Amino acid sequence: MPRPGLWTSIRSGTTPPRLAAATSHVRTRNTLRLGRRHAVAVVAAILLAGGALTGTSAYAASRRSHGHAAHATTFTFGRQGSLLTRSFNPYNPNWVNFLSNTAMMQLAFQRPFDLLGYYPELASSITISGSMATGRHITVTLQRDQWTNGKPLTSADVFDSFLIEGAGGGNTIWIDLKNVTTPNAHEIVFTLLPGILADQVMPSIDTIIPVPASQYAHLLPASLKAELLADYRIYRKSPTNASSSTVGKAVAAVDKAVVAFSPARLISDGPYELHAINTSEILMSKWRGFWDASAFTIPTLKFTVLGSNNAVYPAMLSGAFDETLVGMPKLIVGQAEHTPHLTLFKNGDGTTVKGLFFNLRQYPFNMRGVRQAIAELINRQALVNDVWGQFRSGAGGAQVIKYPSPISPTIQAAYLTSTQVDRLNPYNYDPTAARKTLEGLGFKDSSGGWVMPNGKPFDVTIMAPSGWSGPDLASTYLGTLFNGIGIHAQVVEPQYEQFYSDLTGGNFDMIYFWTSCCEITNPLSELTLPLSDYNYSSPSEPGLGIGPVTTIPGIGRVNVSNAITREAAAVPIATKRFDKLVYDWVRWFNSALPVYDIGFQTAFSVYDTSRFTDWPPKGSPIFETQTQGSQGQEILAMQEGYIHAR
Amino acid sequence: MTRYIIRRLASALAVVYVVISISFFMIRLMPGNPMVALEEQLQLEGGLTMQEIQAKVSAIYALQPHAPLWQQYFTYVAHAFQGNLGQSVSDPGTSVVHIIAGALPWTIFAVSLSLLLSFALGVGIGSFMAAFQEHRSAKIVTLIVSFLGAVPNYLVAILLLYFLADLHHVFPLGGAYSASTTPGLNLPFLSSACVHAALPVAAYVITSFGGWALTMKGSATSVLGAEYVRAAQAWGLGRRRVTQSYVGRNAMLPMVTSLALSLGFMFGGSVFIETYFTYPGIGYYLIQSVTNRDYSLMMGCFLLITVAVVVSNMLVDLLYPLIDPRIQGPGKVQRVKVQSAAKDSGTLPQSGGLS
Amino acid sequence: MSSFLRSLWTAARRDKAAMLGGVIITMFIMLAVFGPLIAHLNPTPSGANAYRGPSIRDPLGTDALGQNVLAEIVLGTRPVMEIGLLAALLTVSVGVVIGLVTGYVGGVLDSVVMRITDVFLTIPGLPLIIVIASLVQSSNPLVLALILSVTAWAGLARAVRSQALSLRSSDFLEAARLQGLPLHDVVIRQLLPNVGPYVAIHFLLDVTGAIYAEVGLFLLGIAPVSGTNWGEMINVAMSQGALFTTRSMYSLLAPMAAIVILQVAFVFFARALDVVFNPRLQSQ
Repeated sequence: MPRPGLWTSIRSGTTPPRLAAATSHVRTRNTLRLGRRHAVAVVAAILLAGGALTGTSAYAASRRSHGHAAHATTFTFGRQGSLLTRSFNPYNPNWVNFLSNTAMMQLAFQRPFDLLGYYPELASSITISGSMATGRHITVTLQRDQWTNGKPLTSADVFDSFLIEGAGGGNTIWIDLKNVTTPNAHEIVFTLLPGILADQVMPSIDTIIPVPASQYAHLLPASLKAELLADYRIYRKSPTNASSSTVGKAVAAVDKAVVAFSPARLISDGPYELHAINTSEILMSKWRGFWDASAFTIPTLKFTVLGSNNAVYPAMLSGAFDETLVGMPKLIVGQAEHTPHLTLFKNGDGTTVKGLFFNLRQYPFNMRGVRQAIAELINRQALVNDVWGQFRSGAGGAQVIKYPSPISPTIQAAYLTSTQVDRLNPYNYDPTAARKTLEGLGFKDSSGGWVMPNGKPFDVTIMAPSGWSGPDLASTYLGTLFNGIGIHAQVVEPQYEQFYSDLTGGNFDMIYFWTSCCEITNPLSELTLPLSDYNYSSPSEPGLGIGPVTTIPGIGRVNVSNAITREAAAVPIATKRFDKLVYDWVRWFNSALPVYDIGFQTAFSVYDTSRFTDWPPKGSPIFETQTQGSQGQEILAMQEGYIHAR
Repeated sequence: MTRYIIRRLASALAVVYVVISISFFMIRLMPGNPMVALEEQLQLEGGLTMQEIQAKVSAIYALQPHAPLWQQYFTYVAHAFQGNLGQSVSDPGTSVVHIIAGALPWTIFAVSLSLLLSFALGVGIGSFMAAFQEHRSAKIVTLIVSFLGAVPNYLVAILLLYFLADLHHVFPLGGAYSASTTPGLNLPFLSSACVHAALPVAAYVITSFGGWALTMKGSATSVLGAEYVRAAQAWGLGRRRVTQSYVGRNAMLPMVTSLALSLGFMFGGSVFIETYFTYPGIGYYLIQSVTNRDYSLMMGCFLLITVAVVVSNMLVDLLYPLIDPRIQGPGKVQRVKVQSAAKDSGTLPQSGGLS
Repeated sequence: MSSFLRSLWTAARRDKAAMLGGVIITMFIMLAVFGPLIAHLNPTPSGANAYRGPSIRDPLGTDALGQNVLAEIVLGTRPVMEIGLLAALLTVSVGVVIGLVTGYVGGVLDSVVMRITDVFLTIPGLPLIIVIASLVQSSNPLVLALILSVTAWAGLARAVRSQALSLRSSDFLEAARLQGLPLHDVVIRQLLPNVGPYVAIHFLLDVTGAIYAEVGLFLLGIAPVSGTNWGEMINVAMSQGALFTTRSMYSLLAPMAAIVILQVAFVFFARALDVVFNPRLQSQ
């Protein structure tokens, strides 16, 4: 179950992980994976180019035609990150994410926009049986797969991994679980509580990455399953009681031991095994024990991990990488679009909503009027058009949010009626009204800048993660904007790890970041990110400071973090109750404005056709698939018969 | 002599002691004491007894969080002198000393290579400038050299990285060696290490040889004007003999001292360059720990960099009498004089004492 | 003082590079003082004007947010110069005061203070600055200047002390003492002028050192950024990939050039002082 500080256990010191399946259930741990991967991918989109770039490229003239020699045997991924600290334990904060879905496979890849559809990976099939009234059964049947130590993959491996995820709080299917059993070596059966929808927990099962029981079983006491089930029973009633209960403590102790475990070598089960790793490179070679090994024709994978985005761009443009995933400013996107051997593709992580978080526990942002005034000081249209840029390539791109709420415009349109939408506040750009609002609250615009009602100068610190082109530029934009109107602003950009810890720890004034995520079909799931993951995900992490208990008109007095998680998991989509919940939350978000949503964006990656061809066609569902790590889409493409050396 | 050595050792230890104290108080007096914060976090996470939590915190910070301040202080100092600098916060379970031990060889490799190349180049060009002072070419060289010496090394690093690694893949994009080689005494690994160090070394050399050249010029010029050289010339000794035996040797003495003294300081000066080239040396780890607020690793790196300076200073003081026969008794070298000599001739590298 | 200026002028006239350095420094000081009066940023930045190539309106083009790069350079001069000069001033004041007092007073005070100075002389400045800056997290110029001068004063204190020591035994100080002049009088009237030129050179080099470290801190994002400064300009230009088109290059190259020009100017100008201070060099 979600516990304070758990984010550390999956926080990666290495790389932005690829988005995990986006679901309401993927909480703390997975959300983080999801978070970094997604966020970085989306940074790619933030500044994707507007107009065509006509400027001569500094690199174009000088590009060497390299890599065309003979038959390419190594496929190179270009990534931003750091491999200074690394662990071969997926539950350690320093887990090398590049090993996810290359060396360590997940059970299945969820098909885009289809909660029940999947590409089989370690699971050959996932079937649903039983009735919702008594509790659904989900049976996972495993492939005949072999670990690199020669042992076969069995249901015991999956079972142990699932226990570990439960202990760490990474897999919230535990909240909805009645039982989990392994009837034989190839099958594992999850029994859900009555009333829980199978399609809403399926993504949590797809994303399980089994670890070898031969390495991890010794960390898991025999009583763990019973303790976990008991712990989550308590948790459903009261999250606070769960962590202080005896079973809760026993479970937490197991998690501690697992997180601290540091295996000397990686025992893996995916199509590639680790060959060598140092502070900037990873080499992987084909593993013949993988159940679908014959599908892979490329003998070696290589990851080049560079310290900053701006080192990745020129390398990408000059053909050093076969696939690159990095946040790209619009200049770079323009260059990439003009480079014949490069192709931008829409990334599986879909769409994120970007905006400003206010720290509601921090004066003066605890005042609704201040938040609303700031909303009116920002020209969203200008920010989205000019700073984020428009995609030249058409599909997707950046779009301003007309009625600020964390739900992306397409989903707003699907779930809200036009009369409901019209009742929302558009917060149009209106500096004069904003000044009036501020003055009405007792703020004064003196010669030295704005002064707050308490007599202190109105100083704000805008925080964004360091090295990400999009938040970097947008926060600079906002800083200039605020300074220009007499609100003294400074911009701080800590490393992502620190940034995330400050965000969840409530240690900030204002943050520019992605406020909700993912092109997913469940709008309530979109709200779990700002309301639960970034807000009171544990008693010690106040995050945005919304609540913890507050009155939502139409819903009542609720613990926002718990309420949204439960509602997203258990209220069936396409019911009246669901639609009403969506409207009530959106209306509250729009008027209380704990988060000011500005626009939404689509993420792009880049592939290079100089050495490898036969990429999936544009718009292929493969590219839209969401996977753990940052390379599952390429692995899936290879497996589906795409990507061959020239 | 023995007494001098003991005194010198004692003063070196005293400096190390002071720096350990500084790092203790920096951690301890931080706003929002990181130890207490960690402890609270562990408490909330549950699953650990108070004793276990304290054991964990004290392992990470190498001191007892709840002991009286003086006791914490002594524990920390005692641990530090035993080489226990605690554990990394961002890399749980790994000791700071272990991380530093992994980073150190790369810094030593790159730093000593940079320093020697920069020194050799500087001495060569400096001698040229001194020998042909009135010549037009020497004046142009002097201008170029002082220009390069004033350029911040990270700007050169940015440009080198962009043109020679990112754009034209002449040199690798980052790191210390290729993962396809096996670390050890084998040719592919060694050549890979050299190729990877080439750009960081170049960035340093380009911006620092100018300082050496100007110092050498100053040193050689003053020797040229010295009476014994004039006397030698008056005696009719050959030009070559005079330059080599009289000028060269005497001009080189202060240079060698500065070289040894710079060695330690370069550990600190490599911070920006290592970070830009993602070169996994001590400077890169320092920046990483700073941005991750990994206090124990941060202080470990800082401590090690300081110890490097202390040790090389001490070695210079102890060895100098062996190099310079003019110094009869030991301990007559005044470090400051060497440094201020460099400053006098306007040749202190751009960092103005910050390197 | 006037004789000092006269010889400085003579030296500068002989050394064109030093003269140029002096002119450039003066220019940057003027920019730092009057810059905000002549250059303005667009308070509502817009990407629509991004990366315009150089033109009469935007001599150095525009950056990722459509800001005039030249205006940013001008506005960025003040924080850079302010912090650099302030740090050098602090360094020099502390160094001179400690050096003079210990050198003149001597005794226990001298040996105690000099032991402390030795420690600061040994601690590598840059890593310490990085560590402190990351802990303090302030964009206040005075705080940054304090951090930047944390170790730099020690070398100067040592050098000034040895000057003071040698002067103490010289005749004119002896004479002053016999006349019963008070300590501060002796220090200000007699000692200070003698170490003046040396201190001046040190000051100039301290400015370059402080600017080097300061820009480095902003470049790596260790210190928080408020308003426009050159390090932050490079940081943003790099993260936006400005090096990739000829139109956008200026937003990266301009702040880099500004830093280099200023640094080189200080170093070249220091040479003129060097010549004045060190007549032996003059004769060569």
